[in-house]
Amino acid sequence: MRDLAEMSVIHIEVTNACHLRCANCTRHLGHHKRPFFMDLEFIAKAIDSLEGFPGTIGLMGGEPMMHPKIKEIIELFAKKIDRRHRHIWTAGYKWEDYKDLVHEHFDEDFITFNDHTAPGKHQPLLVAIDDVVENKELADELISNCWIQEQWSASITPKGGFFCEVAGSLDYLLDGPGGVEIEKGWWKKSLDHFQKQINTSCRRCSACIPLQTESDGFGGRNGPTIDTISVSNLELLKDKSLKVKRGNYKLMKNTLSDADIIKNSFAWTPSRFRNFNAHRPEDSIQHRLLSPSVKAKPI
Amino acid sequence: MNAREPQFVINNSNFEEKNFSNQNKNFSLISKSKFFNCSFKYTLLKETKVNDVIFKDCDLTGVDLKSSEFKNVEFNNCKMEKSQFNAGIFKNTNIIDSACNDIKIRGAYLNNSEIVNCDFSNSDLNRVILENSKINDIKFFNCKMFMFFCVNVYLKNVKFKNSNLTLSKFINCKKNNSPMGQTNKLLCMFEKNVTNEVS
Repeated sequence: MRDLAEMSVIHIEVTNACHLRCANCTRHLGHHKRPFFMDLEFIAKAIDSLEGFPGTIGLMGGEPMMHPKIKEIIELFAKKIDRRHRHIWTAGYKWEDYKDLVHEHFDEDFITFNDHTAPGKHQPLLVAIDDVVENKELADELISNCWIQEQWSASITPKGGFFCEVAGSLDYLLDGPGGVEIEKGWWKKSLDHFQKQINTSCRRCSACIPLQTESDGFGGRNGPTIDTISVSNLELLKDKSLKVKRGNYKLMKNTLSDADIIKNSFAWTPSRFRNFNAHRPEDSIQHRLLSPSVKAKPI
Repeated sequence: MNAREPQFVINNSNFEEKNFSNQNKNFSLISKSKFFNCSFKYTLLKETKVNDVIFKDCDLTGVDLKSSEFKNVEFNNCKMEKSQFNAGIFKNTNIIDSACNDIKIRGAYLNNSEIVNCDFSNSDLNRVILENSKINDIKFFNCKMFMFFCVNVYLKNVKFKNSNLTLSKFINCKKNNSPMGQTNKLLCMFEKNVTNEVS
């Protein structure tokens, strides 16, 4: 794991609403009964708290374009953050309506566009590591070297600051203890300061476990998507998750020996969930044309 | 639909003592070119394609070449400290006599490549895949090498010290004077068809 100050992005998650329903979504979309919409005052405070952060500040969701005040949010980002330090992620909701505004305020290398119409693979995220990994020393090593924390971002949700974006979402889903207070320079604190979050979130997560990645289901365009969940997490989610209520999950009951983990790790490259980078719709379209016959249906 | 047009193109050009440092050149195409004693210090070159290029005596300190592709490229006697090559793809690419301390090359894939006389101390090589390649006279001191994966690789005079090689895998490899010392973390390491040559 790495300190937040070493990261290239810290996200401000303005909503966890999304028009898509990918399998094994990093924001656990499809599970939440009620999405959040961060208010402008909190977003301003979140931006201020990241003053001096050397990387970029991500405007992230869910799908940020579903926030009813997205225009004001984009303008707030433009007003408060240097152009080369702001970055936006979108799955393309109402892209035709917003693309001019987005391009006015974000450089193309800081627009990440993934409408999930090209084949993509997602790592299961709701398998509690303590449910399945038999070797506890190896489980700790897997957590310490989690590819998401090493490659992706910290985040700010309405519940505070988190050392990992998936941990922030898991805290919301499981009614966790919340993040650290958003005060100036919170991101400068060492990872030790986030140990409580690591102890709660990482033990409930499976990002770091070599498991077979699964199709994202084209964001749910081809029908309901199925998440993989372990026994203890299913118990926690019974009363909290719409996806569980609807039966859109598969239960992982088996455990993994050292040999299983070595075997699984051979072809395990979860960070290559797509084999292309997309900054505009054309990037996905081009990739789709070169892809196998499985196609996304129109939404 | 056309592929992305590179924002910056360098083609069929030779440069000597040219300063490219601290520039934003993401999405570039650099091909059939030679750079001698040039500086790319802290230049942004993310998602760049580099084909048939030689960097000789160049300063690439802190250069950001994340998610870039290299084909038929040579880095010779370059300063590459604190550079970023995460998720890079290297084919027929050689890194020779270069300082690679504290680099981030996490998740990169190298094929048919050679790395000779380089110091990777304090570098992050988690999930690097090295295939059909040679590494000679290399220091991996205090490195993150979790899930480091070598297939059909010749390792000669490679020193591993205080590095985390948990879940690393060596398959069809030859090792010559490249012992895994006791100072490394080697939890669940996997070796198959690995031969140890004697010099």
